[in-house]
Amino acid sequence: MPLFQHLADALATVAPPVDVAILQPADPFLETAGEDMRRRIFITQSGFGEGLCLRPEFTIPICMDFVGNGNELRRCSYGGTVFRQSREGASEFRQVGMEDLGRDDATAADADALRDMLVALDGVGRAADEVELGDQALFAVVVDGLGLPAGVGDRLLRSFGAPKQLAALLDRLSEGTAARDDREEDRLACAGDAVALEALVRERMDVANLSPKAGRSPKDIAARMIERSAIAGFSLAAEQLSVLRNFLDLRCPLDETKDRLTEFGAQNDLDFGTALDAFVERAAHLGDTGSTALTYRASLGRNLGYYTGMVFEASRKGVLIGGGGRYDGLCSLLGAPATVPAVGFSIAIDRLEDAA
Amino acid sequence: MNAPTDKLVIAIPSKGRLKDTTLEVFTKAGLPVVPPADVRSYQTVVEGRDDIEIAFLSASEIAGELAAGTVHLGVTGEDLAREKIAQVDEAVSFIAPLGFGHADVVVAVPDAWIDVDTMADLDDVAATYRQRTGRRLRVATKYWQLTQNWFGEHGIGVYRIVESLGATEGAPAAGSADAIVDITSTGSTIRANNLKVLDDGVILRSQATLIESKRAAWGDAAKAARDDVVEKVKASLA
Repeated sequence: MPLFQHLADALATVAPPVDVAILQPADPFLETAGEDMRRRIFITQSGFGEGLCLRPEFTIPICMDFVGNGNELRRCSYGGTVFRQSREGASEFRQVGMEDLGRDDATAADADALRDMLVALDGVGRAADEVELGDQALFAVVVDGLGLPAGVGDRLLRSFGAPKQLAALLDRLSEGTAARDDREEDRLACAGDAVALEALVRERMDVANLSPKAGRSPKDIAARMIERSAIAGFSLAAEQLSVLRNFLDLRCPLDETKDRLTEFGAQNDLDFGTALDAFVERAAHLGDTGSTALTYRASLGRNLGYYTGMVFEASRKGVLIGGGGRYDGLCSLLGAPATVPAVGFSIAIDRLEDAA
Repeated sequence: MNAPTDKLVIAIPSKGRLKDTTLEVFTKAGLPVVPPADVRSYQTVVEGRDDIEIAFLSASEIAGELAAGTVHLGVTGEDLAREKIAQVDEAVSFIAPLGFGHADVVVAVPDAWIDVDTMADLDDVAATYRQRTGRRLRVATKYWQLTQNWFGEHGIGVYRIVESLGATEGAPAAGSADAIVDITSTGSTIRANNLKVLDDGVILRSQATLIESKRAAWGDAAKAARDDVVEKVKASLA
């Protein structure tokens, strides 16, 4: 039996399979993953002018369906072709995967998802050699612990999972940002005069015919102006920079993570607390993974706002064959009234075939 | 079109200042373009040169024809070439900036956004835009490619492009976008619309440029004619 069918069948036994239409509305993908996505997906139009695209992945359509159908607890599997422009030129890839939506016991759900992936791979004789795990929550502890000004920490967290962007940001932050003080708004911001700033913004909006209600509000702008002024001239101390860089360089077998992070925390006056507890609990749920080595890599993350916690990447013979993670932010982006805990993974069939 | 020959085909803008100034450059280079016999004709020649053919096309068509390789050389704005041609550096070479048609492609925001002076500021604003306003930051432009590349380079992914085919600088006041990417030569239109260019918001300093197609059929005669034309145009600019 071909690999694809074999894996799809295996996943169907742990989570009921769902059908996802190949033609999807384009907007949800652009709205959640950003305009950058436009270059990598294939967009077309219906006869009525509705923007459509060939499905670039399964997670967003499955979550849309979940949000649209009244949020029931759901675990499902999928399989099929996805359409994406890769740098190498290929544009069709086969995937199988699983999504688990609405479960509150997050660490157990994380471990179940990863284990389901590993068992399925093992079942077709293509066990992963190694799985790397990362967790944004641990990076957040480090950033919080450094006591950085508001705004700086947010920038760091947003760049997590994008190594180049994060490296460039660290460089910039270590050089410091030039403070401007030549304009009226700079002086007002320096003095923390929110009322006067708001009035100034309102006046300019009025002159420019901008509605103060349509986009950014004068209040928001004034508040961010004061926040920016507070961090103007800020630069990361050499010590802070080395804490961040040393943390991001951490990589160790999963079962050593607790000791390594506890030691790192003690050296740098950081308490990983509940974030580390959750990480250890997840590893315990995972149990024995046979021939697959598990590794913690501190810098591993996904640079998409809706990925909120643990992520993992599986490789075989040096080829990345699958990955997944927790994306608690996605369903609310797609219109769910409250946060929906969610975790899932996908396996890249074409790469798996290469990694025979 | 003529029967296939090994003539060098040069595309020149078909109207306006770009056309007039390009013709001046060619005249100064000793390559005077003969006015078409019929004013409705879009094809002509260079005086005394039966190895060169001139095609009058719109500036944006020229970018497309260079990419397709249906003309050998063309004069158009670097902004149009970089916007219209996929994998531009594989398709064309930028031979010589011609010193006119200056226009910067810039990122501009309302001057009421006192807290936004740089792309990093815009990144901060874009990141929280949806949770504050219920929708993504919208950027009006006709420069899809340049915008996506530039924003991508600055790590900004969460925004939406709103296509604008004219009067882009009016989009924020019209309520159809929050920021713009557009061309400006003096900045006065941008200021008149109560917008400001970001400190590091110049995407491209564009001007009319002599561009060579890598995909055109380059016979020996066309190559020889090109070498001559390029040398003369460059010498006239020096």
